[in-house]
Amino acid sequence: MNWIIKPGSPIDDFVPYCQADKPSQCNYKDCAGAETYTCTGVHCEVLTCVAGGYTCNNASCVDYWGQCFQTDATCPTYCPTYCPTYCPTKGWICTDGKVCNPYTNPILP
Amino acid sequence: MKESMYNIWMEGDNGAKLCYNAFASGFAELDKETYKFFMKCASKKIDPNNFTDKEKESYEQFKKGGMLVEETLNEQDRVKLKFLQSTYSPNSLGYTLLPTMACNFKCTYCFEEQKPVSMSREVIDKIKEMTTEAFKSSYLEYFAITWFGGEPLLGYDTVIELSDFFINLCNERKVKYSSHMISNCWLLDKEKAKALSERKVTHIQATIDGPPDIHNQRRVLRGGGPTFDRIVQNVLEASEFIPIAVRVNVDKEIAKDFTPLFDSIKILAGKKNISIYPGLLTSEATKACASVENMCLNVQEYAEVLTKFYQSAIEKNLGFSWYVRSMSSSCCATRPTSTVICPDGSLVRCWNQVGQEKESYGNIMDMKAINGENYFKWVLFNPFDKEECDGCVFMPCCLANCPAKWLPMTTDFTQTDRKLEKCASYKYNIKDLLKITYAEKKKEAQKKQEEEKAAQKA
Repeated sequence: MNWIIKPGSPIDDFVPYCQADKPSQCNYKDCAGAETYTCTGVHCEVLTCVAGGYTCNNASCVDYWGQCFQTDATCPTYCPTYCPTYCPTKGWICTDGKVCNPYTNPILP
Repeated sequence: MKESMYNIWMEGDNGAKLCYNAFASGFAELDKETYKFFMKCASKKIDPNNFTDKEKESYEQFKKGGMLVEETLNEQDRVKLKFLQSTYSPNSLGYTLLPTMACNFKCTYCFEEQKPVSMSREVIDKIKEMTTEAFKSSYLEYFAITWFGGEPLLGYDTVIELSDFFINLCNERKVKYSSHMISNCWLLDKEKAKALSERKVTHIQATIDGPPDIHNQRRVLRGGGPTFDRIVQNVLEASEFIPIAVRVNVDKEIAKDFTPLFDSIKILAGKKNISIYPGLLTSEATKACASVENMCLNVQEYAEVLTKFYQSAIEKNLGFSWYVRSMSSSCCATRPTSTVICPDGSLVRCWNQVGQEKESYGNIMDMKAINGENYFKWVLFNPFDKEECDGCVFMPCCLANCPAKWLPMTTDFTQTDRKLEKCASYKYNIKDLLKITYAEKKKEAQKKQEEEKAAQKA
């Protein structure tokens, strides 16, 4: 079988918006184990990694459940407000350095 | 295993079969023997344990290309899941920003009603404040900006100020940043192109409206005067620093003969950092552009013209290419983490609605006063409840196409009784366009082979 265009390969050329797939535009890098690349409208992302629960971190698929979370709602001594690893649930943030609070996206009504 | 419902088959050279899979977006040529083996695999009467090495390889390729799928897989569910994951993923934030509604052009077909408002200090500061808050999200990985207008280069200082702010924020929080701009390119000199490139504007979209005699009648300066030569010159110079995508609008008049158009843009074709692609001119966006309705092609006519466009371009060695891929979300208007912010701070979902108060869903200066109807109809847009699209082979690529064509609007957009064509043009010409791609790729491969042979001889 001869591939004219391989599945998932970035296209040679670019056009704007959702078909604008090109490595430099799409934050796309060769992701080991990833099978399908797609375009979300603002960037291209790896759709599937080899197993469920994995996500593509630039050049390799990593297990994103494998991060170490706090088990209660207290913040550690050092608490960057944007770091996902220090609060017990994704989507919670440490706003005051002491307590984890649910995060609300300001652009959502 | 079974055959994918998203396979599109065509005849290739020497009895070969061509297969495009709309989900995996691969395009393959199968010789007679491989095609026969594919049909055998798809007929369920197979045992992979008995395959020869060559058959095993082909079998893996069929699966990789999505042409052959597991018996129990509901492919429509897979497309739906991909859509839901992408549309509602909180890992990206996207703004379309209009630094100004003012424009130095007065194009005859423009859908925007002219209100020369520029972004105030209060709105700029509020965008910064809102973005800083949004960056507290632990989910955020990507931040993308589209600079739109009006003519965004008339708000150049705002573009620079906000870009610097966004890039610093992204660097600080290790979020990936990218942006692009829709510009008429009249003010795009080398200095600005370099500065924008340094601000991570990854490409700029320019527009040409046909050969100079037609373009200069339609795409005119606000005070009158031609624009073709300066746009072409600026695109050429700016492409030294930044990729430019040149959209060539196509309508009934331009489609009569592509020769004058191609002759006039030949200087741009094949240049590093410049790509050229056709765009359908429509009159459906707002009342402001309804005056060009008689010039516009419908989608089926456009599909036919598009095939001729690429065929003619290839005959002239202009190096244009076409391909369609599957998408994961239909449009940024449907993504809750994307928004369009107008110069006065008002928020709309769709680019076509800028300046249309009735379709605004709020204002960033008061995020508590939201028009729920104008917001939720977009973010809850569901491509999978459309009867017309059920089981369509193109669903992974178009996801019901433009949501604006389905949604009820309060503005001029739907007050006309025009029946909007909802499908994408490739529904009508995909086989023709893929065959052009096939012929071109074969030609390229042959040329490469000949060059290699010549190099060996030398």
